Amino acid sequence: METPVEPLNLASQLKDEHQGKWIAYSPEELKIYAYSEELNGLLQKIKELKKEGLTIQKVLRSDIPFIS
Amino acid sequence: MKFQYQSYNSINPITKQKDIIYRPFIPVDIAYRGNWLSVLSEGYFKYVDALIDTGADTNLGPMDFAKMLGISLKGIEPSKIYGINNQEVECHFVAIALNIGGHIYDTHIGLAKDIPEFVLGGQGFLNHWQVKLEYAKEIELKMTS
Repeated sequence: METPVEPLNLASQLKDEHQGKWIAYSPEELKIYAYSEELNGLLQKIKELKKEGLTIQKVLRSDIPFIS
Repeated sequence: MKFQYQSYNSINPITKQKDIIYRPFIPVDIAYRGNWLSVLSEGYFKYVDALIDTGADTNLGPMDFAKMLGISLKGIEPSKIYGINNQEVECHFVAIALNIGGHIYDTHIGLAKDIPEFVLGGQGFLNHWQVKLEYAKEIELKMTS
């Protein structure tokens, strides 16, 4: 029997203030370490925290369905 | 290789109620002229999440990548692309490399100010991978070329 797959739940971490911004999070810890309007700004914040190996993402606004 | 869908709090556009939405993001590293984002960021960023968009014709990304990867857009003639509502977006296509699950290959990405997210589309992603989407659960990729 296969192990059920659960989606990676960022929902509990993502707040309204993150929408439209870059976030840096740990997929293992499911914890958001920093966010910024700009990618370079995010990198500076993370460097100050000295937290390595994070995944970054531009958070889409959740009240608008994304259509490319 | 397999990845998980990501879930977000949202407003359901049909019911107008709070809901959970699911999006197929996968972790990707991106390079320009051999300079990988993970290395340029001194290891602080290992991956960037990219959205699989089977309706997009090409790989697309926000202009922030140009600044981060040291991409000069001088001399690159912009192309016009069109969204679902026929909105015109001016896009600069540049040659890059992608690392997806340890598979590295050369491709292109269109960078534009108006692109909100790193999008993996037909040319540059779907033409290299067989993709199986199990909505809200799992994403399975197999490289085909």
